[in-house]
Amino acid sequence: MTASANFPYLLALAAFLFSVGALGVLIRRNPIVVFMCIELMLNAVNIVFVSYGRFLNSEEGQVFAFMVIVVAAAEVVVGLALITQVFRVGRELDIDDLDELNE
Amino acid sequence: MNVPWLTVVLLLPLAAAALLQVIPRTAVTLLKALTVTATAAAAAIVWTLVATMGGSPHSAGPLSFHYSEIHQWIPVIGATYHVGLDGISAWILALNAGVFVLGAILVSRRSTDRLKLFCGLLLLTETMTAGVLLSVDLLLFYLFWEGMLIPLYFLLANYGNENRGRATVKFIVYTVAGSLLMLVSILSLFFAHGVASGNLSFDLTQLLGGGLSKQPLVIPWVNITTFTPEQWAFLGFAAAFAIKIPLVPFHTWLPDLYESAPVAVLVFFAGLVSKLGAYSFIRFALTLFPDAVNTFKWVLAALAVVSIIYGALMALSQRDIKRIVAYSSLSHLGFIALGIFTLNVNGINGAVIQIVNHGIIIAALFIIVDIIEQRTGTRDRHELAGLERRMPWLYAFFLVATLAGLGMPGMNSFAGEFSIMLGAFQLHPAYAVLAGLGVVLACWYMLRLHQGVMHDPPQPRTEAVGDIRPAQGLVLLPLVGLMVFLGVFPGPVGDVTQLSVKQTTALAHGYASTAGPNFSGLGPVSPGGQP
Amino acid sequence: MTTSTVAVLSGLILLLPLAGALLNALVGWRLSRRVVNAIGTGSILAAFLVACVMLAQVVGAPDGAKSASAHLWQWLDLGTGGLRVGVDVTLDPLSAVMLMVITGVGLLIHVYSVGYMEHDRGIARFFSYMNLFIFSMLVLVLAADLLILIIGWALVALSSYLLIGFWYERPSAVVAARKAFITQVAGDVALVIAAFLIVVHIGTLSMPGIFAAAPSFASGGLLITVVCSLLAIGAFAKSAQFPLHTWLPDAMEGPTPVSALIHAATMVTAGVYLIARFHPLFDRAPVAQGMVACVGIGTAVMAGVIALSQVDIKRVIAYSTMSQIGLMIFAVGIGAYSAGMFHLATHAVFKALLFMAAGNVIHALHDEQDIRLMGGLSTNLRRTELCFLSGTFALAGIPLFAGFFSKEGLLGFGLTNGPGAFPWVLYLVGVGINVLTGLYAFRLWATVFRGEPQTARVYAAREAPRVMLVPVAILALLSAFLGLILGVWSLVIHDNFLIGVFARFLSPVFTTPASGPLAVDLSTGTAILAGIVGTLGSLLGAGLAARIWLQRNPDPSAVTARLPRALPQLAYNKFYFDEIYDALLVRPLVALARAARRVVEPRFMNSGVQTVSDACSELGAWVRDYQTGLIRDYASYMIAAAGVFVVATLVLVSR
Repeated sequence: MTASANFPYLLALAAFLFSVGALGVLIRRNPIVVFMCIELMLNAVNIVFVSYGRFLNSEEGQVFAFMVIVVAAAEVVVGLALITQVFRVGRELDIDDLDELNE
Repeated sequence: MNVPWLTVVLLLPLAAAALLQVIPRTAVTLLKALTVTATAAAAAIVWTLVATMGGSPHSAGPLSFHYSEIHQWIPVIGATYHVGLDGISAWILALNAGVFVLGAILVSRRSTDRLKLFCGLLLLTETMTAGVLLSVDLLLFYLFWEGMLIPLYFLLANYGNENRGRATVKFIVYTVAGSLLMLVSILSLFFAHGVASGNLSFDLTQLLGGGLSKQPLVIPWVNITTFTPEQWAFLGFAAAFAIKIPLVPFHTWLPDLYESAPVAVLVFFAGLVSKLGAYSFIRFALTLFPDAVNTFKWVLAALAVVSIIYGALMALSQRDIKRIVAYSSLSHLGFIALGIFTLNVNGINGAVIQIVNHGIIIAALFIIVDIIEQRTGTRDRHELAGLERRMPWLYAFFLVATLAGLGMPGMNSFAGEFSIMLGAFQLHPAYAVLAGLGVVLACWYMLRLHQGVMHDPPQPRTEAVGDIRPAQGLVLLPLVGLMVFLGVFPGPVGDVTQLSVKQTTALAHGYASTAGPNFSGLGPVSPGGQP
Repeated sequence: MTTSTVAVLSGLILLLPLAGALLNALVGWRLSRRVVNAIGTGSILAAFLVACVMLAQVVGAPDGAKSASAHLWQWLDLGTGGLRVGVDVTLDPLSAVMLMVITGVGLLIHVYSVGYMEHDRGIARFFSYMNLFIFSMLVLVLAADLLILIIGWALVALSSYLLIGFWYERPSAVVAARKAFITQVAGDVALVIAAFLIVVHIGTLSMPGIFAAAPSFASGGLLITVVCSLLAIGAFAKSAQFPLHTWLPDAMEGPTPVSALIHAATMVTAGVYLIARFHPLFDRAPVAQGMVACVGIGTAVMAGVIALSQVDIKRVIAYSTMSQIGLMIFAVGIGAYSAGMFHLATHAVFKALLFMAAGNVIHALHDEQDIRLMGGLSTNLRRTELCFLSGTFALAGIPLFAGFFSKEGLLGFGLTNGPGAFPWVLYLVGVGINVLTGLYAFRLWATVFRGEPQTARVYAAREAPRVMLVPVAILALLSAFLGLILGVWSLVIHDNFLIGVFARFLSPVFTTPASGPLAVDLSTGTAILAGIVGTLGSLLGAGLAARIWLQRNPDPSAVTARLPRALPQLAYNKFYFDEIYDALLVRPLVALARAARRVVEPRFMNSGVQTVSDACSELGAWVRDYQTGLIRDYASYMIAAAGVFVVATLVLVSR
């Protein structure tokens, strides 16, 4: 009973968190902060998964949430390693300076 | 003992390619020996299979095979590992084995950069082309059909003259585009059959009879009636095969590629790979889409005739002798295609026979052109003359190859071309007459090529060249011998092909509502003119 | 005559020249000249002996069993509804005659070649090609299946090509060889299409089968007319008849023995053989027959006129060959098959003789072929002149020489059996041809051997060696007495026919319900009258020639010079056929090919693909601007796309 009652609020929370994350990705220049914002978005997604799982009475939502957590962890590992590497070659940590992706 | 010989044929080159990887790249002799041995072993198996097959197909059904193997592959979607050898694929497979032996021998006769890569790719290509010839399952067929391009891409992109890059990309992109259309067709066929029959299968023998709607598709909103789904699916297949053969106007990849490719690749590329389009037409398009084939045969046969004449005209206007041979190949492939679209026994048998014959001829011609280029340093027709006095043996080989190339009666290609033209005549006399014009033109450009190079007083570049070495003669001898032998005794090829062609022809007509306005089978035939 | 005998004998006669050809081709370059000569001529000698045995078999066979076939092997069998061809051979009187002509005349020419080609380096190659030719010709005449006949038909064209271009460093020879081959391939295609019509209509290519089923063709119908016309076109290409005749004079680029063997005695007469062989079909197609007869007689006139104007000794003989074959074609076109075949046989003898005698002259003058530079050769080349004269008499149809019997035979038949409403029209033309023949035959003899020497070289000319004289002498005797013997023999056995023995021998082949009388029946007055008028024509021509050219300094163009200027000009340039074909066929095709390369291929064929590829590049260039490399941009694209997706979903769900 309570689960379905809370459901819209949970979705609203997820949407809010996702928007905050997305905005952060778009306007912040520090890669570490961008990363944190991405985590925020992922966690927003997790909330959606889990709440739908509860709402629909199935475990699959939680399964996917765990999946996302694992992937997020892996992504952080790779991402932080990249950032460290950029820092070590003596570049400033500003994503607007890092535009070599199109080469 | 029940040996799965077809799988052995498929895996043997692959295994050899794997084995190559453990040999150090400096052990050149070993690399060459292994490649030649592997291809020769595969050839020995194939030739024994073909020589002993004879008689009627063993399995039952409207499309039956002399040898077949079937295993589960991806049960969920009904894909099977179904390979089979019948009268149509048998001699082409024999040709396949032969041209790869030839390629292996040619590459082992000279020093090649990155030899190990070359040998590995060559063996890989053999597996793929053999797979195309043996597959009965459409998904398996598609896998091999596309897989073939991977080793070929690296072969063509890494070896050959300086223009190879552009030519290779053109070929690959062209072919892949056609193949994707075919994939769409395969999938639509697959789903339609699944819906109609309730079981999923990619197996050709299951898909016969289709399931695709024969109601014309109508473009919504504008209300334009187009082809039926069956016809669209057929056109997808036709695009892939017409590009591979190639038929005019899909041929523009051919001359550039043949010009730039090295001879060791050309013997199996021109000798076999381009024929796979023709073979697949017979195997898949004719059997799966009888109605559509009967609808489009007039257009396709016309395209084939255009290819014959256009290829001949282009060959007539070239200076580069390698390009002349390339365009002659276009013209002759037109003959093969014409035979297929006649949809009658004579035409299709002739096409199969001609696939084998032309493979032999074109391989020999490219080898000869390559020898001439190596000796004189030029491929310009205007700088070449008078080689007969310097190279009498090459002259003899070239003469036979030229005659076979121009369809001389008594040479191997005559049996094929005569049957094809007879089939075309049964379709409509005009096709045979126009193809006859192609024969006269072939005679012109082939003789001009041969005479130009061999006769007249020698030119500066041809003053001081020596004749071919015995080893080169030994490579050409079996080819030339086969041209004469198969001209005098084409019977064995026909005996094997005709039973399976009968099946295919029946399938191509069995579901057809009308047999076509001008089709008439031959009347009762008196046996062999016995008194 | 059993099937197995036929199989063994045919196998033998085919394998012998083939073995000779292969042996000389493969190992000839290591063998001494003597061995090469022995292989080359020995194989033909053996084949000739086999041919004699085969002739004896046919002669010895009881009436009604003069023909036997054998099945050697199955060439191709495509099952029900498919092509089925056996390698079958037939021995019957017609093929026996051809066998004798081919191997007999062939043998003499081979022997002659030993002398003629004495100084040539490529002797092994030469004999190899010559043997190949004999083999091919034998395939052609023995074949009992139309497809096998076509193979032989093409193989003779091949050997002819090889031999015309034998001196391959001579550009003119190379071009002439190609021209001959391509013209004949065009004829082959006609033959092949005729074969298609036949096989589609009656389901077999086996010649006994075709002849048995001939009545199934509606007599005079369109189908049979087309079939026969196509067969005739094939025959015209091979026999150098209008309009496919231009290759023959050029073919004289080959060595003289080749001209004698291929372009006079055997190959060029294969067209006559073909029509005679397929007479059951031609008998049912009167329109095609009429066409054949007209083309034959027309070619005969045209070639005769050209022969009168040429100054190259070999070309004169070549045009006379064309003219004589025109007569044979005329004969088979009016149904006088035996007469046509008899003229074929005698012509093979006297024309080979003329060519070889001309070869002696050319040899003695060190490759001089212009008759204006000859004259007075009779002093030094006494024996050659005698032989040449025998050939000239036979060619001109002087009574009692071989040509007289054969030519008057076929012309006499023409008086009553010509095509159309006025059968005698073509006969009168034939009499005119007799006059022409007499003129050009004696003109050649007179300008070459009589009169005063025109160059110093004539004084140094030496008679040919014995190996070249003996074959010529044998042929000279034959051309003097062959007709006489057969004619007397015919009278002895009370045949009322001029060449009754020959016609009687061939009658098992040509007796079909449809075909008419076999030869000139001497018991009727019209035939005798026809013969007399024809002979008078020949004598008139010969006499005129003697008056005009038997003088100290004969002018080869004496006759033509008196005609209106345009005519000799036309004749000397062979009526400009080469130029016309060049302008109408060769040049347009070459231009078309060039257009294909320069315009069609780049503009049309390639442009479709090029357009697609260019479009892809354009698209790529446009998209590239949005690939800034800034993560922020990429993120905003993603989020924008996600936004679009959400909105779209909402819209679709709410509908």
